[in-house]
Amino acid sequence: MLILENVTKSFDKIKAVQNISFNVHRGSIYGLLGPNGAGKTTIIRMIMNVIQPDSGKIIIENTAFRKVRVRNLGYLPEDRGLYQKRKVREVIHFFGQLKGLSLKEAADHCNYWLNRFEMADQGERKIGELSKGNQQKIQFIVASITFPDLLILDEPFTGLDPVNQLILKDIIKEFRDKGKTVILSTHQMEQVEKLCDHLCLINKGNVVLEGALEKIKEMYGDEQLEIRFRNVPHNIPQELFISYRWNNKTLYGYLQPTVPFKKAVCYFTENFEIEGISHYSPSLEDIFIKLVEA
Amino acid sequence: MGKNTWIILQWEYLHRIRSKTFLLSILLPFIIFALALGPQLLATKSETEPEYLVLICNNKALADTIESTFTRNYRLENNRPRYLFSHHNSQLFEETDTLIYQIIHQQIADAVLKVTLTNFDSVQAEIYYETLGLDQINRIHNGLQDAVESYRMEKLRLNKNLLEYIRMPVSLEEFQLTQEGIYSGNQLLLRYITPFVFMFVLILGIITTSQSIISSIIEERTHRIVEILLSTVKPAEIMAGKILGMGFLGLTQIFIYFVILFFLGNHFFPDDFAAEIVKTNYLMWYFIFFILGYLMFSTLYVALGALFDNERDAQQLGGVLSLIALIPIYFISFMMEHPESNLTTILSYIPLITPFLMILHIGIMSPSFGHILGMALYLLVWIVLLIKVSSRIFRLSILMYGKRPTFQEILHWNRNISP
Repeated sequence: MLILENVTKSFDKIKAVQNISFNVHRGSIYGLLGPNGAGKTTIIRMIMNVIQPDSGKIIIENTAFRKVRVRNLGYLPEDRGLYQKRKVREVIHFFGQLKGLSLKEAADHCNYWLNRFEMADQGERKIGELSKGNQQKIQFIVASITFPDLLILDEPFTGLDPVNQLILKDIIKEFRDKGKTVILSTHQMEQVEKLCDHLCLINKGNVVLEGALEKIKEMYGDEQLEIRFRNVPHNIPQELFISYRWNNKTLYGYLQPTVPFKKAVCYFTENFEIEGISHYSPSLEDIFIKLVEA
Repeated sequence: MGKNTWIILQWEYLHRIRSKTFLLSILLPFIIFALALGPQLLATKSETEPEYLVLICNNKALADTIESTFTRNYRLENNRPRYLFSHHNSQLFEETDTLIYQIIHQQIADAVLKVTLTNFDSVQAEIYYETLGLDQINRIHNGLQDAVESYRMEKLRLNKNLLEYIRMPVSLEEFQLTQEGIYSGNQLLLRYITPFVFMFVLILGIITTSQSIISSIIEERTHRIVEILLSTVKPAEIMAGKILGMGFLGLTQIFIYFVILFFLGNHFFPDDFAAEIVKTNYLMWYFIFFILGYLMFSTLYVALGALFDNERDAQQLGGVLSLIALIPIYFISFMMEHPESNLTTILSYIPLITPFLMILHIGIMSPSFGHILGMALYLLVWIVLLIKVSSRIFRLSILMYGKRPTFQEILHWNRNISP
């Protein structure tokens, strides 16, 4: 569905994105993760043709952006805003028409989405009169008014209450179930874990990790130790770990690839007074922090 | 015109035509007209009471002539004399200054007119008052001039009829021969009035709409709508839609004025005065340059809006640009006196001034079809060029937050960002 090949973008002397490549498959929810300033928004803007890459290729549906019909693409930017003095329906119809819908189609789709978000009675209100959460919903409706094949959502859950987060999650899943593709850029790892099939972790403009969520968790899942000491020891052999952290008397650490798990367990039980030792199955957030810190 | 441009055009046009700013821009000329004429009309209406003048003169015959001339020349609506006099011979008073001071401050009269006839028959006059308008003073001055002339004629025993015969005015009827035909009388007047109407409306339109164009672009920048727009539509389409929307708004504005002018003209002028305007041969060109002028300034305002991320900065520069629209006003009299001068020609090639000067130029000089067409194309090229530049700036604006770009940055991005 979407292919990025060696995409690079610099702003003056700052390299925002360096040689990035990844594939997004049709009918999947793809998570784009990374700390602030990692280059996620730049990548999304390049995909959406808002800015152009310095080098590399971006291919959507086997073709370049300018040949893709805009009605097949939906985009919810991170920085959100709409015409504050215009009415809800007017704004949705306007963007619907710009994306290639007839006025009647735009009106029908608008009604569908307003009903879906239980906002049918808000259609004649001005955007500026709506709450931030409701404005956010209108922004999502604008992005998905055409039921696009590729929907890019940059931080879609920000500003939504738990009920509406749930509605949005259901809609995103529905998109996938109908064979459409969703790219989700968010800091909320919990949402990524629940929704995404694949993910790409970006840091300082580079891809740090890319692949199926299950494989990633499998890959990083059994390397972490959780050791509960009786007393905090002073002579931990740091060379055994890629990284570790303390929580009171408990150590959470990633072992070096060269250190087998069983050997590490033996070493600690023989040399330290410990209450227990176990595998710690890391959350995506742990993996994220580990990789970014590394 | 692309479909997206048309959608944006409609969006901009329908929003603006329903705005209070547009209504104000339509009403503004009438408000200005009312403000200019209102006080004068009110003043005329209130003048039903005579004014009291104390005349201090050293010659009785002259004083009598002054009174009779004023009484003959100036009458109120109810046919009463406008001025009532009280005579005093200045020779009887040693301290006329004290007398004048008392008359004015005790409000015995509206003014004191002190007239002194010298030994050589020259007249020196002084007027003292507390509250007299410029019009009133001028009227008294004219009346005094008439009275002194009459006094001297009497003294020299000149025949008044003979003098009037000598002063009989000569009528000069104008005929302008152009390639299209002969213009005379009202037609000639219309040839001058019509371009002025167009120019005035164009200036007014530019000044009243500049703020809303800049606000519209800045809203799209500050509320981050620009990102959704740019991901959906080409920047040039956005710019073209906005600018053409403004052009249609200008057309609507001038159309409304013409309808009003047509009906008012037909109502107040029996000789189909308004219909003559519509028949003016160059009307089409006036419309074309009017629209081109509107588009030229709209394009600049759009570019300005894209450059700034806060309204205050943009409005400041926009205000300066609006002043450019006023420049032709300073050159109107010069152009009418010297329509073929080098300065007029040079000014007509400055794109921001071209539309105004061409409207005047056509009205005054009847230039050739080739020249008019050439200038229209010249303006069109500038507009297309400016649309391209402003669309690049608009796209670049997405990368600029919280800072005003330097001139070097604008040039750099303009070269490196594809439209």
